[in-house]
Amino acid sequence: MSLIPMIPKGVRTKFFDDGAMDKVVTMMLEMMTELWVVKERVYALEKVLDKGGMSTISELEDYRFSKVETAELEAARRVFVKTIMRALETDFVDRASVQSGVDNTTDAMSRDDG
Amino acid sequence: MIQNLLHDLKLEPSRDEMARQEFVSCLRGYILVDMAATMNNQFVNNVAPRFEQEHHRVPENGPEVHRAMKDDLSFKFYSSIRCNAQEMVWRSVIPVVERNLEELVTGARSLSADTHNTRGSLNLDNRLELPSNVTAVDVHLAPGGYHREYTEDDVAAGAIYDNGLNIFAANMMGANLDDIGASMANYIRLMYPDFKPKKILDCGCTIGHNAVAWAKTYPEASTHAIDVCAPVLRYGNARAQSQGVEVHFSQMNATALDFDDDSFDVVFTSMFLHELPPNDIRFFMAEAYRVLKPGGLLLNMELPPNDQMTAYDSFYLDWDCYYNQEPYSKCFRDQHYQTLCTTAGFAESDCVQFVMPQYGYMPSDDFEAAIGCENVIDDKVGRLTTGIQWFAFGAWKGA
Repeated sequence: MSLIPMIPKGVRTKFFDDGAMDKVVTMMLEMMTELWVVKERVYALEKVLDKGGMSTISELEDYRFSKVETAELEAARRVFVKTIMRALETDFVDRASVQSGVDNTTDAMSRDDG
Repeated sequence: MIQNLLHDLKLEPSRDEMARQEFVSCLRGYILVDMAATMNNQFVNNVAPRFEQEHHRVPENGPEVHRAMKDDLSFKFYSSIRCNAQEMVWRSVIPVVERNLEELVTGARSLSADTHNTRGSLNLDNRLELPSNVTAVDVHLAPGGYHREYTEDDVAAGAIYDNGLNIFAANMMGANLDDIGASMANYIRLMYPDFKPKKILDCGCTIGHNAVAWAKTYPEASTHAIDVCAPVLRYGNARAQSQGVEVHFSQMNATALDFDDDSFDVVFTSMFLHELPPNDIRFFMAEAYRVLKPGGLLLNMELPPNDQMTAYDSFYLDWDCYYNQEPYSKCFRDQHYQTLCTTAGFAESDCVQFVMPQYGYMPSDDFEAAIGCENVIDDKVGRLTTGIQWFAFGAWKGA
């Protein structure tokens, strides 16, 4: 449980006719982000290995994870899935309870044009 | 590439965290430049002609463009992806701040206490009542806002803002995230070479990044900075101390300044007024007039007013009001800025308005050449995109 909240107050805006589309966009963007993280890490790994004069392809293909490494990967994989699927969770967090506070504040502005 | 923060509170994200932050910053740049251009083209080529066919006229204002654009896929994807990117800015920073929070607090305490080389100060007022526009809304979709505290002497909100702004800005707000302050201060320095302020006040300063720019531009002046949120003030004080720039931070509401009448030569704000409820803007303007010395200058760097923009540009800048938890920004931009000044007591003939290029992104000769040029508000003014120009308005207090 993190100390600092990760979700802002208020109802998450839906832009598409079907709210499922909004969630899919979030999932796609998280997927893009995590894929980029991996691409950058693999790129760094290749550079490190090349500097060490290692033949990366066969070494990587033959490598087997230890028990500790397997456990680490499993934990990381769970975080990976949770991050990409976060759009399916956020609306169920306590946003409704804080919405009245947001509404009270936003009432002061004219919203008749939205 | 995300720039390194230039002070001792800089964090060290892991390789993956850094890659995530770089990606989000890149995504923001794509949204603000490429996707914004696509949406504009879609408006010009399809949405506007359809509107004209139906109404036998062009859209007259931002809300009409907004209504016309709402069903267009370019708007839906632009808005959806931009909201997500905004959330992802904070999500890419918060875990790094939380992991380093203890060190950040210790470091800030140490920098704040070390007044041997830099004699800035920090005065907090724990009795100050936080305004509801700060506590009820997570402005900019920033979880926890700028006021929440998670530990003693907390600086988390300041660190989240500093690191988040660095990603958000996508390299468009200066090496020290201070291009707004540096542009305003240097514009005034060059435009009015005989104006030598002795005392400067930044209202709604957050982490004091723009106050630092003014203090550097006018090193002979005493620079003060106020905000209602303690965590950003603690962080801002330590940040300025680390950079060797003397700034005096105080926890204070801009609508009720605890300063004497006629005590400042400059009162400035940077992207502050559009976050305030309308009455608070009027209270602040009156306070600014009160604390300014005769001959002093009020300068607000802001988003340009709707009455000086095209309907499409109004719609584009109003977006943040509806979708980025900045509920008062449209209401503010709908106002007549000069009237805000004259209502506070400034004379109409003393009101000023400037459009200025980015100080940190052009040769000094080019910046100087822009001083005093005609103020043209186009689609580069006030928005983060390539070739941005800053907008400022205010007034001189009659001598």
